[in-house]
Amino acid sequence: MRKRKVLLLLGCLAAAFVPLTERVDGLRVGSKKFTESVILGELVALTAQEAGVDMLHARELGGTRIVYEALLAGEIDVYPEYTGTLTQEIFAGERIDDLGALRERLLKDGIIMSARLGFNNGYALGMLAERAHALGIETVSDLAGHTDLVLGFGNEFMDRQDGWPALQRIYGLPQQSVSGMDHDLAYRQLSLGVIDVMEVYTTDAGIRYHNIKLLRDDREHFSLYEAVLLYRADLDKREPRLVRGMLALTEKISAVDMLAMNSAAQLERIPEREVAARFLAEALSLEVAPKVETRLLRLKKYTLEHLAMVRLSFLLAILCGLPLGILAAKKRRLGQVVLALVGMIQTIPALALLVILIQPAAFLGLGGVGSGSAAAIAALFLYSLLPIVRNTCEGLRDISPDLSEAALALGLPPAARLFEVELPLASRTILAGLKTAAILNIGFATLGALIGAGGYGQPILTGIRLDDSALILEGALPSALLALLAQGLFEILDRVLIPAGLRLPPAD
Amino acid sequence: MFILKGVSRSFGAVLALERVNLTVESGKTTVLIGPSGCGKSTLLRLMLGLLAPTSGGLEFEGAPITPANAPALRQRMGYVVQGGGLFPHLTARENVALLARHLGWSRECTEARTRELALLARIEDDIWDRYPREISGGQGQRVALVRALMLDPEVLLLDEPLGALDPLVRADLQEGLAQVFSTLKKTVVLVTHDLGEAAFFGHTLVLMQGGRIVQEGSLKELQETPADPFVTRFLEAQGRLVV
Repeated sequence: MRKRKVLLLLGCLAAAFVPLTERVDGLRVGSKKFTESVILGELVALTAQEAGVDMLHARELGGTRIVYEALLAGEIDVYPEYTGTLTQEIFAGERIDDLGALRERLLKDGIIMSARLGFNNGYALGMLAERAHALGIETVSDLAGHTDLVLGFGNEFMDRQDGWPALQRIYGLPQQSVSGMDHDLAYRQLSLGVIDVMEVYTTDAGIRYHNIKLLRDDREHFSLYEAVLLYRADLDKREPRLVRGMLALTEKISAVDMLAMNSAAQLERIPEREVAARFLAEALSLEVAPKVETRLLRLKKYTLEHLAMVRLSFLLAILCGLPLGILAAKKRRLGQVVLALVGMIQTIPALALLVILIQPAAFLGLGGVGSGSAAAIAALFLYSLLPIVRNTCEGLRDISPDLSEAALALGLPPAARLFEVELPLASRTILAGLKTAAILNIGFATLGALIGAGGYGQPILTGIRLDDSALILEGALPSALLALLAQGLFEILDRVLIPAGLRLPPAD
Repeated sequence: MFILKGVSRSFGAVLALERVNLTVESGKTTVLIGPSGCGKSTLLRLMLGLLAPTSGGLEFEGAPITPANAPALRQRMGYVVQGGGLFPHLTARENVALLARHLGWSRECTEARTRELALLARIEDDIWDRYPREISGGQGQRVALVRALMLDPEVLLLDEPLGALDPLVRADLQEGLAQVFSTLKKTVVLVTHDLGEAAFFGHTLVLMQGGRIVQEGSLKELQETPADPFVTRFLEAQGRLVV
């Protein structure tokens, strides 16, 4: 019996250290989690492939902050960005007057900005082409003459300094009926005629889909959001072929091209990689055969990434959670503090926790973003602590005083009391805690995709972005299955680890 | 064996024991008796060093009992908690052998000692591989007794050993215990609230009430020269059972 348990534990430990995912120590291009950024990331990855350079695309890493920090930390080597985002978001509050100044500012961070890729993806106001034509509206100034138009803007645009408040002031727009709403919802409202005017990004696929006319910004209010590539200054030395290859993209992608690519990916559901490959063939006469990923291969990759995250974080949670739970049970005062702390961690929203952890992970030289992300593993570890610590503590506290006293009176040393008597008696409660933690962990791990850690969350995120239910299920189903599997595994573990004498019905 | 001098113990504001003086003689059976809440179980725990006195001092074989030496001293005492306190996750055999295994006894040595005690306590052979939940209350108490006697302790302390058993088992076990005590010639301290039991086992009865010792002596002494009206009342309330 004893031997079996030891073997089982050793087996688990060994299994925990078998590497599941290949670590790519080579080059990485990052992208933000919207279609255009992913397509641009694929373009860079394909030019790298064409130049004979091994490069991984860390897709959909998250928002601007995450991706920029990842570039600074050297987690990624290059990613597509917009000049307006840099001046308005990254360097908000610093005075940067023109592109030259921006270039210099970036160089101070050790980052080079490429020439423009060729298109501007800034804000613009849009109306249904038909309606604009009927009212004779061509420019934003023309709106001033139509007081009864209904305006609907994304919530972010309503609040931004360069958004609605400034627009209203500069153009003297008189409309009374202005409301904030979800950006995607605004498209629907516009096509239904509920609103007349909305803000769009100039290369949104929706523009083509809904046949929207962009109103000319005749007073040049909106900042330019020129697409550029940002890359680390040392990249030129490390991989000159790559830099030459990807810079071939500059001045080659027009707004029409980008709009067409966005539509192909978003509306026709053509994989981004293929969209990018087609563009390279047509515009640059580069024939790159994108490596095709079958659904099965994809699933295998997601599964391995997911397991890698869950496994390491869960193992660490057990290694820390059990001693903490024991400590909490033995020292009441300290126990309160420990339980309060791990409880508090549980209340931090997942995304916030992930973002908070990226910096320390990078500081420690661990992978902050991307597959095998230390930040994701640390977050999962923290989330798994509560059930383990609490159940261990409660299991130990619930031991009948008679039995604790018997162990004490028998003269067993403290360590023997703990391992021979107390832990076995509390085993059922402790294992229940582990089971809860494992299932929570598997579910939470889908959020790792928010910072590019991959796993089943990846297809879920992409599916949400592309409004593709099949893709969402591709992540959600295996994740649910894995949770069920974990549940089953723990039922078996119960039989092995809970002593036989405790599984008998209590004597009358 | 035990010498208690002015021992008091309080739990918060409640005084459970008040200036208790008691000497437990070697080779004798001393019975602590009294109504529930009189402090008899607390007194037993103090002797085991499971509790420290609030004031006063205890000695075991001439050495003061301190929190530091209590764990070592406890290996020289055998204790049967109320209800037996057998560990439900271990078989009867494992329960009995637990401490011996920790002290590095050989398997043969442990087995031999178990057989010897099993014979004495009249335990059937077929229960050794069963778990406590599969054993009757009376047999469980016998196993607990064997566990307490395993290391051949100098003193045996028992808290209500016949507590929750039905009358027939009780009578049988009472005989068994008495036989074990007399064969092994151990010093025994036994807690009970039952005068019949006390009279059956005890050389010395220590009658307690409200955290104090009211009188100490043989049953005869308690009957003939009661130190307090309470003694007579207590004896009369239960005395009908004693001939």
